[in-house]
Amino acid sequence: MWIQRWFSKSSEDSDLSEELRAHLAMEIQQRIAAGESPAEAARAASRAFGNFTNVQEDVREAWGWAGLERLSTDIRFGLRMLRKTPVWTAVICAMLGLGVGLSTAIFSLVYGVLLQPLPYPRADRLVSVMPTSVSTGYPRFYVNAALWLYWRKNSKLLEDLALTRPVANFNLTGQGAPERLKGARTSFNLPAVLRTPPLLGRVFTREEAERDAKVALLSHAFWKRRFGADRAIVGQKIQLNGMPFEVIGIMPPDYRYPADDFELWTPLYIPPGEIQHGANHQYLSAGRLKDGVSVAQAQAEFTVMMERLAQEFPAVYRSRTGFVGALVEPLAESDTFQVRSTLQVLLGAVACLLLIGCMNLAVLLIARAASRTREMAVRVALGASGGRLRAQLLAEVMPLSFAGIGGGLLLAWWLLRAFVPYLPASMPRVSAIGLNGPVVAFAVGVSMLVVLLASLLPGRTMARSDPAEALQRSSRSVTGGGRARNLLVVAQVTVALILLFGGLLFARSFSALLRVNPGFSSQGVLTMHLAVTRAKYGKDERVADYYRRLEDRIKKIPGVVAAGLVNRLPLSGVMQTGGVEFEGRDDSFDSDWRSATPGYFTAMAIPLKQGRLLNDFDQPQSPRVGLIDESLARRAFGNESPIGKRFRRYVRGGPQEEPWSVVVGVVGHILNDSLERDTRPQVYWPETQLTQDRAALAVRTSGPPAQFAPAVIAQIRLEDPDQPVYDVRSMDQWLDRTLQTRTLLTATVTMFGAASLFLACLGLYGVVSYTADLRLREFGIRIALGARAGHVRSLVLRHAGTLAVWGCLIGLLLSWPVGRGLRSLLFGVTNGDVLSTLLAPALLLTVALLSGLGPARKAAKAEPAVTLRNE
Amino acid sequence: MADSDKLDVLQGTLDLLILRTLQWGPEHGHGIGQIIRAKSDDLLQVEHGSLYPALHRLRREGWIESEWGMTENNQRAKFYRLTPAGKKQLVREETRWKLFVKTMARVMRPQE
Repeated sequence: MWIQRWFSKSSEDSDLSEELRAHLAMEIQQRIAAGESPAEAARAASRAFGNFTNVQEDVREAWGWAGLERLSTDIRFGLRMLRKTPVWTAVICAMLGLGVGLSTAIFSLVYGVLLQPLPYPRADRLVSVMPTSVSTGYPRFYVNAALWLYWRKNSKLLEDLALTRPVANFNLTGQGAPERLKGARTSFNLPAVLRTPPLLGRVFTREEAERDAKVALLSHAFWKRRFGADRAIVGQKIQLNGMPFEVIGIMPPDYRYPADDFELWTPLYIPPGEIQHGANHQYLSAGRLKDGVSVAQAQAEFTVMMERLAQEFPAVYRSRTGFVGALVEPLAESDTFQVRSTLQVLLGAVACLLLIGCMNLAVLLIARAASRTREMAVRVALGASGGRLRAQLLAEVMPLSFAGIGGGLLLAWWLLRAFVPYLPASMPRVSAIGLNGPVVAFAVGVSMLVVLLASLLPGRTMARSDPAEALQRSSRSVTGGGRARNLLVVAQVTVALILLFGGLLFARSFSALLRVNPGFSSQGVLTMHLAVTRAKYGKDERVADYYRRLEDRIKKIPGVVAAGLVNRLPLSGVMQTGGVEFEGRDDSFDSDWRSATPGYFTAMAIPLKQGRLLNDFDQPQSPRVGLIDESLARRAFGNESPIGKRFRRYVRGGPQEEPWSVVVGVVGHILNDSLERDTRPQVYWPETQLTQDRAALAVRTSGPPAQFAPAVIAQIRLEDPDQPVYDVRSMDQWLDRTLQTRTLLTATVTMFGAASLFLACLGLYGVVSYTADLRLREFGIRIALGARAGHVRSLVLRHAGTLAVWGCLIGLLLSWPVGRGLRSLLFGVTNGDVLSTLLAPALLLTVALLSGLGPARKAAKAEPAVTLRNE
Repeated sequence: MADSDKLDVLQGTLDLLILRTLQWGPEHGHGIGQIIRAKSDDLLQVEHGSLYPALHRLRREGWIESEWGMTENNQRAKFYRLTPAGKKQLVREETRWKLFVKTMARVMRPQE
């Protein structure tokens, strides 16, 4: 609106002068008509008219142009004022830059992960559908082929639904070093659902998926990295898992389903035997809503479908407490549920910090305004309106917001560059984090808003001031704005207390988590993954034998204490779970299914509790055996010994034809999913009797694990030169990875808590020392009248203490609901944690009194002779 | 500067005078000045320095609107016209003015 007026200004200006000229002409005409000579008439008319420019200026004032012109004068004046007080200006710029920088960095994180739309056309129409069964402890789990076929056939509200097997291992051999590629098997319609055509070549056909054709689509990043973006690769064959696959297309850079680091896609072939309700849950789904259909409508449709399925297959989909449902949610949200609450807390924490910074700025501005009361009073006396004063004040601080934007963006850029590599592995779309348009707009907006809010209060105080009173007033009385200042400091202490309380809760959770015993020893253990090329080994026996030979070779490396293989490593983020039943009982137990070699338990230091471990005599032909862990033993058999009992995998509602295995031993329970939740017991079978293609190697070493990696890989290559290994990490690193989200949360909130403590005490110090300065004369009189230095000191300290106590009291009241909101993110402590409730205010009060100490000491030294003469 | 036989336009009454003048039809700035002078038997003189700012202020308030047109003497001039909002404003101002005059008169009336 203002801008529009600014642009039309020049045309209105010329309009005005034409109007005035016309008036003059009429005046002259009238005078000539009355009998004056033309020259005389012109002179008289001009005289009567007065100063042309003056009239124009008066009119312009009425238009409000002058406002804009005045603004630039005000800004120039403001800049001069800022230059005159360099320390004050520097402090404020630093504070603003810090606040804007931190909040922009956090916002860019939140924007990139949660808010930014997916890079597909009409991405708001994309949904993910997952089965859900909250009552049995699975709020979301993988889809299976049977459900997919049923949904796809019966859904009327989805355009289409695609199915993807998220991680499929492909060992690339042939050209160059063997490499394990992270691929996905997808239904042929996925590119159509995502509406993304290939960059080069073509996508799969339905017929290719049905006959399990050996064709592959490459990701843009992989194509560039491995083939140097060579267009001729399309149509050629590459060796994957020992078989030739034809490269039929290259996908564009934005095609990154299901996650950023996927390198190739092959058609999803579903063997007819796999289509079975209740089993083989291993897929992700992505669907596209029809136009005009909302997520809620689709959700209702899927719930109805699941109810029908529960009637049709009660054994599979009905449980004691309910039935298995389906969760329809926007695709962009489906992979962020793990980090969403963390990011929200970070955003809240940074908002608190920003609020404190804003109030701090307001305090500083009020103090500055108070020191200029006389100047302002003179302005009011000379006829400046309240609005005019406010505008001037705003114009003076506006340059600060530009400093805030500049400094903040620089800081945010640096923070992102430095810390994005340390983000938790579970955070999706990390590559989308950066200083893009919306993020920059956020920085600008936040900076402007903070300065605007901070300058509102002093502006109001000033405009209210009565010039006569202010001019008469000497420094004998405490200047106005005192109450506003005190309130602002109390508010700052309040918010700081909440942040501190939150930080303490997270720190306590973190330390509780560090004390958790995962059930195995991670120290000195090197791990790596290998996926076996089935085409090369064929039968299970040969794969198992290959594993045994690997284990033997690695055990012979000097410094290696123990080595073993397992199909899924603890805390590595992948799982294989299912039911287990015991012979002669009709209940089943949800467990982690593991296949291991004998050396695995020693390598991970998983203790044997009863019976024996697996050993080399457990062979495909020998009696089938297995181990269960102590928690399953206790749950299934209580105090009775489980040794000798028989168990097997159990599939709900499916045919039971798997042979029984005898429990030969009980081992210690370990935490497989995360340190925070103890979800399932474990059962182990020998690799020789239940062979799996994917294996993780655990090697216990006598030195730093990383040093052994080359020797271990060399031994693997000696056994099979084409065997790629991936995810080479120490077990400690896996442990750190599971803590990453919590580390981020704890470190950030604690840091913000400390920063807020600092800022709040800076504000407190400012106000207390400013007030003490104003009362210096009073203190001088008190001392002259015989008051002790200690008494004067306590007067100042009491001021600081009162502010801090009020802030702490309100803060404690508010931190109760805040703590409740954080409950789901806490571990090992409750939101009513006594230690945090005591420690946070204690910390704040101590630092507050410390910051009051300086002014108190100064006040106590007030020399009556000096302060009284100082007028 | 003020002649003894001329009256200064009372603060705040210029708006009322302009609105009232425009009640009889569109008029340009010069014409408004002339009409006020004529109607007041040359007692009221509107300064250009007050007239034009007032006109533009009234236009901003939306009480009058302006348009370029031709005078009888074929002179290009900007004509001002009362808007419906301006008519309502005129009624309000007139009522206030009458009240003001009545009140002033009652206060100034010699004691009986």
